[in-house]
Amino acid sequence: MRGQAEILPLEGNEQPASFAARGGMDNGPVPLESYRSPELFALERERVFRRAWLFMGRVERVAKPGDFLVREVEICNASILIIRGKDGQVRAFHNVCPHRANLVETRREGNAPALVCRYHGWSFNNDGSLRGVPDQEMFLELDKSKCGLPPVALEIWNGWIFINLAEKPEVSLDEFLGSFKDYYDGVEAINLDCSVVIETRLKCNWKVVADAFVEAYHIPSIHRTTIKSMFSNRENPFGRLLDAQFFGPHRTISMFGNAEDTPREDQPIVALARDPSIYRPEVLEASARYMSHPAVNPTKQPGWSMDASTIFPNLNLDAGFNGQFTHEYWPVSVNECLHRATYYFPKPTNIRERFQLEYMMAWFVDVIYEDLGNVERTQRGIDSGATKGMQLSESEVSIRHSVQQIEKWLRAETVADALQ
Amino acid sequence: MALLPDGFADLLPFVAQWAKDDVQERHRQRFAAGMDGVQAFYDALAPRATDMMAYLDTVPLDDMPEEAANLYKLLMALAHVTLSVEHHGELAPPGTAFNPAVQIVRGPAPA
Ligand code: FES
Ligand SMILES: [Fe+2]
Repeated sequence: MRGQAEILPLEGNEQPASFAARGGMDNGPVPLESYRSPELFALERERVFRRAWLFMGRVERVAKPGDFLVREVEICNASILIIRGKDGQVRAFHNVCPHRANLVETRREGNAPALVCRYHGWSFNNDGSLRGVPDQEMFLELDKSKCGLPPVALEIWNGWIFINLAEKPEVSLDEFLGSFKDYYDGVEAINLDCSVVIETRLKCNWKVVADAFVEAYHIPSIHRTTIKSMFSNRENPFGRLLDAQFFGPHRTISMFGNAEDTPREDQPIVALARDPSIYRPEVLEASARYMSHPAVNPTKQPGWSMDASTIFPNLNLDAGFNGQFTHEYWPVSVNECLHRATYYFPKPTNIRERFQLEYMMAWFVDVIYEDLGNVERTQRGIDSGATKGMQLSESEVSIRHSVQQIEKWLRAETVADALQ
Repeated sequence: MALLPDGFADLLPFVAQWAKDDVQERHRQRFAAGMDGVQAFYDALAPRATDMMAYLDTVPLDDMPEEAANLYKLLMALAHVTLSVEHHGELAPPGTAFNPAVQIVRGPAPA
C-alpha cells in the first residue's frame, strides 16, 4: 500500500508499534528547553560541537593542490581552513596566524600555493608548515618547526570531509558514524562537478531550521505551489513517511513521492525545464547505479521522493533522484544560526541542460523561502515560554530523535557514553 | 554592435533590465520588477523560449559572442519569472516576500 506509514518488521525483532518505538522513544511531548536556554546552548558548544565530527564539504571542492575552503564554526569561534597540500593530502588547520593570531586567509575559497598573513607577512606552505618570516633575525628564540598553522583533526568518508575540534578526538570518524556508515557506505556520489550553495542567516536556534527539513508534514501547508504535488497525493495527502531508521545519534527518514506528478497544462516553461529527454544517457546511467543502493529509497517503492539522513549534529545528507544534496545548520548564538544548502549538478553541456539548472536553482530558492518563512516566528513563540514542549507525530519522528540525542550528548561525560 | 542576434528584435526592450550576470542578480531582478513587470517579461519571452534555445544551440556555451550572451541571460531570467507566473500566480511564494538574507553564494558555470 503506497504511502501508508507502514512499519516494516525488523529482522530478529518483534515488530515495533511505531517509528518512535523503533528508535527506543515514547510518543510524549518533547521538551523545547535546548531551543531557548543560554545555559544549554553553552553546553551544546562544549559537549556537542567541540566533541562531534563536523561536516565541512566535499573533496571535489579541494580537488587540486593548493585548493582551499574556509569554514567558520561560529559557535566555537573557530575559523577552519581546509586545504590540499602539494603532496595531495587534504588537511585542516585553524586559520590563525601563530605570530599574533590574525586570521590568515580572508577568502572563502580559492587556490593558494602558499598562504600569507596580511599583518606582518608570515607565510605558510599548503601543508600548513611555516615558510617564511620577514626579518626573522629579530626573533631571538623562534622555533620555526612549532610555528605552523595549528592543526585540526580531519577525516574523509566517501569524499565527505569532516573535522573534529577536540584537541584529541575521543573517537575516530568511523566509530562516530558507527552503524550509519555500514548502512550508507558505497552510495555513489553522482553529479558532483557543479555545486551551488545558498546561505541564509536566521534569527532562530539552529535546531528550528534543522527541524524544518526532516518532516513532510508541513509540505501540503507551506509548499502548496512548489513541491506539494511531488510529496503528497490523494492516497497520502500529508506525506506520511515510508520509513525511519536510527543509527546511534544518526538517523534516516524516507519520504513518500507522487510518482504521477507532471507539469500542468498551464506550466509550459516548467515542462520545458523539466523535460526528461534533457538527461544525457551517462547521467541516467549514473543515476540508476546510485538508485540501486539499498540505502537510497530503502523501501524501493516507486512512490518515493527523497531520503533525509541526518548525521549528528548538524548535517542533512539527503538523497533524491538526481543525487545527493546537503543542508547544514550552524549555530551562532542560542537564537541565531546560518543555514547552508548545497546542491550538485552535472556540468551543463548544452543550453537545455543549462536552462534546466537555472530553473532548478530558482525553484530551490523559492522552496527555501517557504521553508524558512516560519522559523523566526517559531523562535519567537519558543522564546515566549508559553509552551513547555512540542507535540510530535510519527511523521516528525526525526525531530523526536534529534532532541533525544542532543539531550544524551549534553548529559554524557564521554563521547563513548554518548554513542552507547 | 547589435544587442541581440538577428530575429530577436522584439526582445530588445528587455535587455537593459533583464540581462543580468548571475543567479543572485536574476533573483533580485524578479523581485525588483514586481508582478506586473514579471508578467510582461514572461508574456514576451515564453513564446520565444524554444527559438532562443535553438539559436543558443549554435554557439558555444562557454564562449558566447556578446549578442548571444544577452539572449542567454534573458533566457536564464525566464527561468526565474516562471516561478512567479507558473507556480505561485503571484510574485513570491504564498506567505513570503523578497528576503535579502537568502544568498546564492555559489552559482553554476557559465553564470
Ligand atoms: S599576525 Fe600574522 S604575520 Fe603577524
Ligand atoms: Fe519544506
